[in-house]
Amino acid sequence: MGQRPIRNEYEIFLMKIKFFATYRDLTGRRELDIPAPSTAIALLEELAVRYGPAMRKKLFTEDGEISDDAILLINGRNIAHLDGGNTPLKEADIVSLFPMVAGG
Amino acid sequence: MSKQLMVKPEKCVSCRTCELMCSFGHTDVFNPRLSAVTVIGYEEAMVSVPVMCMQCEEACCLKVCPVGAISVDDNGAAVMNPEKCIVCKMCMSACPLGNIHFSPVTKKVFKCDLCGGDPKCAKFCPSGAIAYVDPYELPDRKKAVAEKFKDVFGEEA
Amino acid sequence: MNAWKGTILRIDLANGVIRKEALNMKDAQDYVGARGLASKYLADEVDPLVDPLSPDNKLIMMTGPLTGTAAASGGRYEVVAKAPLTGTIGAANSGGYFGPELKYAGYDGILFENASPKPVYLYINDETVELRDASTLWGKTVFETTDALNEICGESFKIACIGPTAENGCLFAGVMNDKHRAAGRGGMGAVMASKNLKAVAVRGTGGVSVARPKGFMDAITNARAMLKAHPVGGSGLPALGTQVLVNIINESGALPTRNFRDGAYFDEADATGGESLAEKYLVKNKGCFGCSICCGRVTRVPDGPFKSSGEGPEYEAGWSYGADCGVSDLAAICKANFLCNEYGMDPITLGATIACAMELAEMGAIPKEDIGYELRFGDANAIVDLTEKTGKNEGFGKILKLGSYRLAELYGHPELSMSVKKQEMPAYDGRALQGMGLEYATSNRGGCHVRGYLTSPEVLGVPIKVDPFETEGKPALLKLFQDLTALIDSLGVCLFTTFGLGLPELAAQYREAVGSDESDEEILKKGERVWNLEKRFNIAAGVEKDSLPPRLLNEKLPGGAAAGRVSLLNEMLGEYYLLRGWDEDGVPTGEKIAELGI
Repeated sequence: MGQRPIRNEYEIFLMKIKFFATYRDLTGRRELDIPAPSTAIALLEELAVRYGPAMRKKLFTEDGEISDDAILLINGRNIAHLDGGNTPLKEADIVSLFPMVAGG
Repeated sequence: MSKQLMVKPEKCVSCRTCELMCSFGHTDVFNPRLSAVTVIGYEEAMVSVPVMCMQCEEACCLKVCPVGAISVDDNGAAVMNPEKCIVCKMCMSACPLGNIHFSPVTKKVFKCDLCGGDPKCAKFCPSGAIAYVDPYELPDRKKAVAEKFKDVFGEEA
Repeated sequence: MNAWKGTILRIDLANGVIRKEALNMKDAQDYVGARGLASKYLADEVDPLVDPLSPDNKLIMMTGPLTGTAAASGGRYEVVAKAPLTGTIGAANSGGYFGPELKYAGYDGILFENASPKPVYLYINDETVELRDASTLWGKTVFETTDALNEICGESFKIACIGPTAENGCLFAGVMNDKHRAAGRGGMGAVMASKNLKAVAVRGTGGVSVARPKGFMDAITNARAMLKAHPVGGSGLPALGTQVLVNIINESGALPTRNFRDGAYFDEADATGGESLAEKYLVKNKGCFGCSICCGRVTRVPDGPFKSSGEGPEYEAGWSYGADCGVSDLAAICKANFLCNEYGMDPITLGATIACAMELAEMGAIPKEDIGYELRFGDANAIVDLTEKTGKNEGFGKILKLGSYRLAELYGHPELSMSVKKQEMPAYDGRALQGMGLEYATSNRGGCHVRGYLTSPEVLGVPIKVDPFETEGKPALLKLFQDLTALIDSLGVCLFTTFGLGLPELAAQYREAVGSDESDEEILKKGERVWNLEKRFNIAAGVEKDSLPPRLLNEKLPGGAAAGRVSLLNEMLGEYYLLRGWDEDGVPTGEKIAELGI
């Protein structure tokens, strides 16, 4: 939280995506800085393209809906309680991606 | 070709579900002491091992039985015929793996019969430590070795 | 007898009389087993005003009808007594292997009365039940006691025991079984120690039968398959354990940090999470008896100053010693947690009590000489040192063993104890998760997360997604969760089954096991009955009203996703009481009591 947006070599502001749990295994990384796609669903689509079929299977249901196993937080708020897949993204946003995990 | 049980102790999590399901499948009662499979745990070494009859091809129990009560069924399991068995317990002494048991409840000798081709221990094992596999399928371990060669010598996809 | 064994042991510790008593079957049907049934016995037989550590309190260990069967995750038992930490009814449950073994020996439960004149342990080998001298075991740790009893009684005995902290009056000492499993909260171990009872060693060779074996086989096959198919029960928990929750709760801005003082976002949380635990210290998973989830972690810190090995930590302990103390050294957190198991203490309460001491020390309220050094948030050595001192009842540990409320009160700031009814709240901030705030305030055993886990819908979206900031709808959802949880705890199955199963699957297993034709709703009603029984006990015991620490009601979260928010408890409480059929002070009405047949 509270980190300032960073820029790439073309001076484009980048958005930070943090991966957790099984998404770390799927991506092989903890974080990714990319230019912000316009919406949450566009971001998930971009990740599915970038990381292949295993990622797509985790992010989307067979009908192309966002899977329950993809918990996407934008600045700590679950997109389910914002505008779902249509939630707009901005460069300064911090996005976190979790599978459905639990504990207690 | 009949399948065979395969035990992978490195995957065993000591939950003993196999013992519960074995006893329930054969007696309608949950009682680990009436199970043909037993999980033996070593806490310090952090390992546990499910031990059960692996259905020897050269089965001592079958050979030693004086009344011919043990035979091999279609699934390759050495099974007891309770009608013929006189509970002499010679098979218990003969089994080099200790996998034939006496039930104080039923006063009968019992062993793994592969549940007629659908062994409950494998079916309910949550971690894959007990599997019922086709012997012609490549074992996972063989595949794991090959994967390593692939990583070293393979081209980037 | 199906599912229930039909016999309980009643042990009068004062005169050593052991009686085998028929289980009250009417009560078993109404209150199911484990938590519910034991609470019924306690409420019937113990004056709610009793001093929890006096001989007049009773200690009850009880299994449920599904304990010892292959019901999904059905290996649990409950320990019930009036709790010394809170003064409420105390009920703490635990997995491992002890509960099923007690049932295989032929008993649904054990009821301990009065106090023994000298240290004893209870030996149960099927029908042979004896009280035996435990003077050589007194003072020994949980691990030493367990090993010694396995040596004396035999390898196949399952052991539940207390550690030395219980004997030294630690108000949050747990009853430990199978070394690493704990009926942890509220001080059930302290009650056991007050009775001079060190341990129960049990071996059973009988079985547990069910009323409709074919139907039961179908019900458990279905339940296990559903659990396996669920992302949480089937892969999430097995892969990363409960500690995986650290990051998601933190990113949601709900991970209480530095005694809730610095809000609910901990910069260094990732270093303490399940991913780091799996990467650095996980040896393998471990399952409780008959469980298909197997969330247990066998862990080892291989080297360094905190070299150690054992089981855990679970999420709550990882938080109390981690974010709550501002500590990011996972090795130190593991070591402190192992010590809690060894000495038999609740790591949630102890970690949170140390966090409270850290805040008091930083503001100058605790003199340096009382602790022996400058105590500050983030001190990894201190969490291990103070845990060890509490375990050994040395120095500042003699105060920490009383919990954060008594500590903060002693130093003049009771408002800085992050507790409800004197029991520490765990690892979710009620300002960020409104439902959890209501859950803490209304929990029948004080600050606690396993009485109605609204984190599940509020953060994880299981079984439905609800907005954590909303108050609307939370009272109704909480009531449902509390009743369902009471039912689950009473069945003898693990609460984690709710990550995959709902009421229909749980009710089906119960029906087939006991041979009942009750509807799902009638079965859920038993959970509501348990909840109301507990509440009535607490009211009669004079327990304080439902509320939250002032910090949660008044101090806005400084940052994170929920920045600027406080708990809106008072917006929800009235509606909650109404839905419960209680009056505006939270007292169950005569009508409700009559409806439930309490």
